[in-house]
Amino acid sequence: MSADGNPTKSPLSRAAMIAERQRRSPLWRVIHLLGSLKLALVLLGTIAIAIATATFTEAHFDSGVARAWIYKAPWFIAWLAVLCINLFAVTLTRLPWQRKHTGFIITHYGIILLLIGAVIGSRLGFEGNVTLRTDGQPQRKIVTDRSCIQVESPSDSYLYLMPLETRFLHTSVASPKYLPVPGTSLRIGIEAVSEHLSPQPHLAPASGKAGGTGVLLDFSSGMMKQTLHVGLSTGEGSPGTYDFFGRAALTMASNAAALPTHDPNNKKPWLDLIPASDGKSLEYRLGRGASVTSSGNLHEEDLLPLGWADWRLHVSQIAKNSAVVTTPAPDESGAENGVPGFRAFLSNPEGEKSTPLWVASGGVVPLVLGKEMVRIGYGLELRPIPFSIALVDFEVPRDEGTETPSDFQATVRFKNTKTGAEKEGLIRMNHPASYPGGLLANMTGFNYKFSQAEWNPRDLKETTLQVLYDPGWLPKWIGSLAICVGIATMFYIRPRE
Amino acid sequence: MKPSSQIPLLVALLSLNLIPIAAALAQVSPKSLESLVIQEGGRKKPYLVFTEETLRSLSGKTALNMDGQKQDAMTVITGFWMSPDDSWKAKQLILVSNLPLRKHLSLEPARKLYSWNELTSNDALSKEITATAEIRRRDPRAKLVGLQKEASDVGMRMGLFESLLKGDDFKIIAPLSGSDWLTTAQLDPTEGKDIIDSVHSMRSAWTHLDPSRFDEAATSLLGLQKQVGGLPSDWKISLEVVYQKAHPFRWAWILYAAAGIVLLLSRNSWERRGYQLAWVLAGSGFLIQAAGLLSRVLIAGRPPVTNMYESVIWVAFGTILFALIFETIYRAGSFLLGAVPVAVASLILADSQPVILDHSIHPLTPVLRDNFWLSTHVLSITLSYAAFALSLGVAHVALAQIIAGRKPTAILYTYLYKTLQVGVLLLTTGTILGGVWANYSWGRFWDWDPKETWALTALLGYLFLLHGRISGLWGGFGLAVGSVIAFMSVLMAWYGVNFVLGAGLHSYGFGTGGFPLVATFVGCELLFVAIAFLKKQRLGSA
Repeated sequence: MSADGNPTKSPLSRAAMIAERQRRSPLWRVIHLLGSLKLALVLLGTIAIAIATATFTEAHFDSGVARAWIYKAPWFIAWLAVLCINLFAVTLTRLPWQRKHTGFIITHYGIILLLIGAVIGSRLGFEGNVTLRTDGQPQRKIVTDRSCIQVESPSDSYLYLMPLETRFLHTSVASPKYLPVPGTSLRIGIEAVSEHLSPQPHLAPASGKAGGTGVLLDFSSGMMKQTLHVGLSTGEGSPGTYDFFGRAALTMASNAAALPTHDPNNKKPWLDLIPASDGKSLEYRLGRGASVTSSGNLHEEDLLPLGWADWRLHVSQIAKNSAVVTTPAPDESGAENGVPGFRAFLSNPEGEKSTPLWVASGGVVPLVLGKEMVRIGYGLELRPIPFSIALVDFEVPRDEGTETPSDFQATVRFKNTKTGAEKEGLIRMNHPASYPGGLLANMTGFNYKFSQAEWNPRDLKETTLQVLYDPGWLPKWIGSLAICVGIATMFYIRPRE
Repeated sequence: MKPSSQIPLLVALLSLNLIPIAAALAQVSPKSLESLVIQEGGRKKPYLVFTEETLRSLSGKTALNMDGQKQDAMTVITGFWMSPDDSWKAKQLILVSNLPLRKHLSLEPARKLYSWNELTSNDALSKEITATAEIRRRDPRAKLVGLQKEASDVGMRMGLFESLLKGDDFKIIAPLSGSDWLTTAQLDPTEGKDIIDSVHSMRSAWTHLDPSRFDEAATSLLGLQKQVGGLPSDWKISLEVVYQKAHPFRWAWILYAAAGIVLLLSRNSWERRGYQLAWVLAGSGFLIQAAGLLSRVLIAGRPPVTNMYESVIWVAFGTILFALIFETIYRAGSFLLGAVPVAVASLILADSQPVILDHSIHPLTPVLRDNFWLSTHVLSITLSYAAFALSLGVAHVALAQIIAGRKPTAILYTYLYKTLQVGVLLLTTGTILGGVWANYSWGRFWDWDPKETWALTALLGYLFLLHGRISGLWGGFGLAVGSVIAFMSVLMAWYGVNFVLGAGLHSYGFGTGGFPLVATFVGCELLFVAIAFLKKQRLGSA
């Protein structure tokens, strides 16, 4: 910073000089415009209103919506950039700086530095988590919070990752969203998205031992507001039994002799099914313990009240020579469970399209068009780390006389993949462990920091750690310090006249 | 009933061993038990504190009117311990505080306390409680809302009643190994014979209305408890008993209020002496409040800002602290006059709403167990709230003068600006420290968590106010109006995020209730500003 400018200049002549340079130079006019207090007020006001609105959006929807619309929205980022320009320009308008500007300049540059740190952090760093088990394998990958589509290109068999957030994807059968398959002229079309995909059974033709008589059954309860789709087949490799929430047992067998005998002491209700030889109906027996409560025949579209609360059975399909296969599909039962995903097809430049298939998060699906096959997967991006981390021990001490945790203590072992050097770390609440650690790494943020994030009260061999790699840490830290020091200087340290 | 006819009945009852509880309660005082150490809620505390906290959880009060007599918490809870019989099930002890729930359960709209028998026979309630238990079974972290939350609270109180009646909560003996203390029922009959005998003889003295024998047995129990060991140090227990009885924050607000009244009333020749008296009164209140807070710090072993109750007390303390500092420098009177209503209102609120603002000292959730960060981040944030509360008070002084038809002096607005500066510096520092703590503990610096976001919103609001003043867009009056309106964002960051939004990572501070109160406050403040605005327009045009 320059010294006091020209100490002999009076405030009046300084104001006159500033007015004069604006009059003479368009550049100064722009600088004064960009650094104007009015623009600062507009920025402060709009940012305050926007983020306040976002918190209500978050409370009414969820944090994803608030992020997509406001915090991570391009317009908001752009607005923050304008704020940076305003903060920088306003310091230029005070040129030549005087001693009284010290606090003012430190504060405004501190905010800019903090925001630069944030940009560096979000571009070069990442946040993620890793779940470890004391009896599990060391982990070398971190699960980030970024959803990605993974495409295996048929040209080079490489896996390509492309960010894709299905929640905020606007797409339809009429106007699908297209993604290129790298190295080919093929494209992947996404024509529908769902937040609630779950494995749904259906019957597929099968021959030989795999093909038996298959049935698709729908169980529904008005009281539980739930519908359950179950597929059973007598063919090899298909399920022949189904455990109904642990409360009842469902069995299908090709003949009565193959059905289990029912224990008279086990009061759990059961339903046994035997397909008729024509492959169009089923013989059923409902019972409890050793006694049969009802029996008869069922055809497609028949309804049967089961006597298990208000559960009813609907026979939706009976087919010979079929096997049960499960593929992801939107859960239409109304229950808000399942995983997100999308329905995609493969298309070529000739305009031909493959059969669209659902791709659920965590799954891989092959799309086939003519002779071309492209495997696509969907899920959270995994980031490799240059070392492995293993959970040696996990303890949850409790508050005296209660089951309330008083701390979480995870002992972990880091192992450098290249050198094989090992290092142990203890992660407690408020006391993270870091790798490679050390003062320099901690100060600069070129460091992987592991903090306790989640635990499973039912399984104390498992813990989830939050992972942070933030190369923007140093500018953030210096910026933060500058803001506080700057404000204190501005308010409380007066330069001697 | 005439006295003469009472005696034979009493004798008859004695022989049947069936004393009416109220009669026994009236005769034997459990005062000798107040320093008995009991383990409850994750810590060891004096029996006196345990009984008051327990009755407050059960009934929402620390004293009850039972059978026509006012009974304190010690008497009621000791009654459960000493004579756990079915007569308790008919007593109206269990709080059903929520009016919509009472209506839903077809209970009397005007009555808040119900007996165990009344509640267990209420089918609608058992249906609600079963439903909430089902939700919790499916997802232990599920957030209950509305009637379900209220019903679940009643269910918890019923659970507490049951465990009191069973004697499960009276854990008074340190175990040989482990950390779970034992009730007398869990003691080995031979090894714990002396202790069991003492409690037995306390019970017998209690039911036979023999105060001296009760005190004797209680003293022996206290001695035996010491022999077993594992107790916190004597001074800690004594301090907590004194703290519990002294109600320091009540005395503090009474003194602050007196200081405010003196300031308001002293005029002309009395002005100087009045100011000095107000100083003495506010200073004494401040010292008493400081002593109360210090006791809490010593008892809990952490800074006193870990729940809504503590933060309300702390903000009141900070407001007076800043006012006294400014008064020392400027001797203006208006800082104190502005601070007093804020501090008095906060302390009365904290004292009178125990169901919303829990007085009890609980062990902290693990993430908060770090005195360094608690005393830097949380203290600076709450002190910024205090500074803004002071600016709210000073702004009120200015706006009240306008409403009264007087023009506030320019220096008053300068004072207001100075209080805002303190707040801005502390809120900035506190918010950034929060980021540093979050980066350290949660593994990220900033993630738009609602608490973070509202702290930033409030900060931006105040920066807007100060920048507007610098640019000359508004003058002193605008600053005063802005100080009142911007304080609403502080309320949102402080109370709203935890109690209204109920989302985000700062979930350890969440609670329910108080919304009508806060909404009324906000409404009154806006009305006050509107009146001042109209008056100012009229003054300006005149």
